[in-house]
Amino acid sequence: MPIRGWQMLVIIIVLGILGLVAFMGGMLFTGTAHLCGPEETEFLGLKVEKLGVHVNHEFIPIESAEYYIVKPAPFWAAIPIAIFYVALAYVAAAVLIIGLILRAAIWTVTPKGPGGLYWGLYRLTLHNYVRSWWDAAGIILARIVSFFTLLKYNFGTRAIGFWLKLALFHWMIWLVLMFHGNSLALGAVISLTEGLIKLPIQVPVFYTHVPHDLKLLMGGAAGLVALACGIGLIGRRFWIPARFKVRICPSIDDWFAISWLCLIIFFGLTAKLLTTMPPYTEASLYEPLGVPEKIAHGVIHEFGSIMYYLVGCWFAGLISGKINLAINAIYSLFYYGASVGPAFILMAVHIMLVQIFMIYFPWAKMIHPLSFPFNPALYGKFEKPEPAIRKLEEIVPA
Amino acid sequence: MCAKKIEGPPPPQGRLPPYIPRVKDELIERSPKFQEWLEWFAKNWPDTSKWIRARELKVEKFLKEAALVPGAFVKTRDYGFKIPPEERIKFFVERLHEMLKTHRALRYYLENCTHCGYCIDKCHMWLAFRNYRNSPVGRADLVRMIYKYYNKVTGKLFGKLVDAKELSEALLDELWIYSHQCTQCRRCAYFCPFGIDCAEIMRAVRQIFAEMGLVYEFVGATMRSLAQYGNQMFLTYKSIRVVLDMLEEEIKTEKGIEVHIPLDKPKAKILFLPSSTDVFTNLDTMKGFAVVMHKLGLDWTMRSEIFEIGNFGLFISDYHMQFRDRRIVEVAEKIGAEIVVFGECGHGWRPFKNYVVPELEKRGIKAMHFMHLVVWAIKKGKLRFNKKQFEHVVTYHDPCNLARAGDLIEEPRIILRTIFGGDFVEREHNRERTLCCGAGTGLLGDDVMPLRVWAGWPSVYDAWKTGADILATPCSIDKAQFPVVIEYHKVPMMCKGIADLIYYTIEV
Repeated sequence: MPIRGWQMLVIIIVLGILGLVAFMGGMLFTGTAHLCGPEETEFLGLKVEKLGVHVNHEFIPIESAEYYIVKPAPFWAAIPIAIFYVALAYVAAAVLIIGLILRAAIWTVTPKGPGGLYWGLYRLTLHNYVRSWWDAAGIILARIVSFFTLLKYNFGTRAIGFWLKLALFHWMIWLVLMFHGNSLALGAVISLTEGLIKLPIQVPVFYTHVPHDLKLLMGGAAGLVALACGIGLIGRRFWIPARFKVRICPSIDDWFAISWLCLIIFFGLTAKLLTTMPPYTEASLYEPLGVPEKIAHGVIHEFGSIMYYLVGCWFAGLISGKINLAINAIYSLFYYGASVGPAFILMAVHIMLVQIFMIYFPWAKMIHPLSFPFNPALYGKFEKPEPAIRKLEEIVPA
Repeated sequence: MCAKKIEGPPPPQGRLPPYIPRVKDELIERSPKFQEWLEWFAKNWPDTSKWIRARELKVEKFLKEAALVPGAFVKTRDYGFKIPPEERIKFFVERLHEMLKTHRALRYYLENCTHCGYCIDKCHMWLAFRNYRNSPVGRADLVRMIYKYYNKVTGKLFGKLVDAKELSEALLDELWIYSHQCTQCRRCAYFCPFGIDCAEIMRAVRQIFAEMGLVYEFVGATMRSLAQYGNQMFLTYKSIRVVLDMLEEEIKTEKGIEVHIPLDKPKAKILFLPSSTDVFTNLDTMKGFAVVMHKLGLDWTMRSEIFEIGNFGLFISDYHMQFRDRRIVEVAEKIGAEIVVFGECGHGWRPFKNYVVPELEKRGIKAMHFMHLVVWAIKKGKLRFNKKQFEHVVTYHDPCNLARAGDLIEEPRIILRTIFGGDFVEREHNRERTLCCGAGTGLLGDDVMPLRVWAGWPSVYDAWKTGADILATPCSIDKAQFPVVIEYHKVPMMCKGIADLIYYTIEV
């Protein structure tokens, strides 16, 4: 008896949870943010741990770091930044959310059969003995997550190379997104406890206790693999017409989605690799720019680089409504980019590319990872011969 | 003691010209008819199969009547009205737009394809003709480009850059040709990680053509027979009865038992649905059914009102598809059946399982496939077989609609292993990866013969490689198609139904 679909579903969920727990690396033990200092403030009668950075056992509140590191944007720079990195960010987030809801709504309200009649003809036998929705869901998820159908034999070939590129590309993107989730959580903590909307909460920040070298290795490796596989997949778009000797995949959309993703990964990766390594991590470099060495050292120690701190401030500014902070943080990226080295600007480009991608995402085929619940193969008449067999046993003469 | 295996396919009979894409397993090159392939198709490359055109049949009164039986819940246009060519484009675009609002699957499959191209060489049509347009994504893109042009902002803004194209007479013609060269086997959907079913898109296109008043001639004529006679072979009660009487005589001679094959009994506990070809070309299949039912001592009957499990309406439109299905439910209720047993048919099982079974269940009637019945009887020790009566090496061709749409994968294997033991051999491409016979969607007319003989070749080649001399398949279209392909490619093999093999080996 082959493995059942619902068993696959259980395996996927268990593996997913295990992976998440392992990835979060000891989150269960650290509990709250490493950033949380010894000082506590009271808000609405509840204790809120104050955020800051540690330098030689000395606690420096986050506001001090912000004062020195985030440079105020002059008027001529503030306007374009406000348009392209604040307004556009909000627009991109809104378009993404509204677009996803709209696409989901359109699929939901579209009947499964003609005139609202449910034919169930879409049932695709993906596996033996699919007896319930859960079975079907498990198998479809297994296919989407593992891409195992690519390894099926077909007239002398198994697409092992394609599978490697495709699977690693998608897996690494998910991994990188999880790393981003951590970084963004950092921003969220800052904003929720220190921003305009002060919430009396303690948000556990995972990942901050992980050594920066390890973070660099994990994030860098994931990004590099994703980029390599992405380029491989772009190459496949050239190879496919050559393989089938005709002009195919002619839509610009086919090239845009994958190329844009690769560009995003490239800029994010290079920004990460450059700014988390010397000379960008030398605190003395920032002294002439008005950042005391101990503050710069503390921020680099806690955040990995000045760039990450600035991105955190930008994100925190966005979600807490501190528009000035967001504008100044982006201005600072360019400021340090011009003064210290161009690596900071790569991050600004990365952010811009992501914003555009967010606007594009819900309207074209990039929606595909989120279309799973609407997959027609999930619905239909499932195999249940038992009731008929029982009836047969009743009417067959002994 | 095992039966002797036959020799496999010959070495390559030549090489494909360098401009034609090849596959590692040189299946076209290994056909004894390779030179004919070169003559027919190589010179037309890349549109190798474009010249094979399914003949159009103008829809007349009969199809209108067959389609609109339910009426109550189906909102459709007036079938049979004739649209002048200049209005066809407008009609097609409008209907596609409407269907996007009523067919979730169509919308989903059009919108989610990432054009990875992985499905191309999974299609037996591409394997046979190496024509990109005759591959899943190639065919679906014909519809996708129209969809983009008329329904997407980017399509209107960027046009050809996003592969959006205005519908023209030429494009409509290509849609006719290639939608009728998709056999709706859904192999592409199995291999696609997202399960994108290009067959569903082609089914929608065929429906729009039918609404325009155009259907494939062979399918249309068959549907007329179903509407007029209750079977797809223009058989009357008398002609069926004559054949059944003859079969009773043959069973008596061959097996030495008296078997009565009932037809039109007013009341019976089991309504049996055969394929009409079982009293026409596949007589041994009918004998197999009769002997099994007799051995189990069942109170059964067949009915001339619906002496058919095939459903060619599936290949025309959703509305035509209901015709057979509703009649089965009506007849089962009328005779007080407790179980409806489905005989050997591939495509008919798909709507039967998904539409008829739930409808029957609402009325307290159960339904099963003949193979469910046989497997149950084998497990209960009610049927015994002796393979010495038929010493052959057997391989099994999974009909597309049983394996990929019908959850009937292991049952035939249980039967064949029970009968033939070690003489049953599996093909490389089996179960959900099975290959189409090349005549799905009723591509059984002589007008598409060059298409048929090569479209069925990948499957026959796969079977030939096993060394089996019997290709077993529980599908009427397969049983009509494979002998043609086998004869054309000079394969030392026979095609038989599962019920045929049961009949040859059953101990009475």
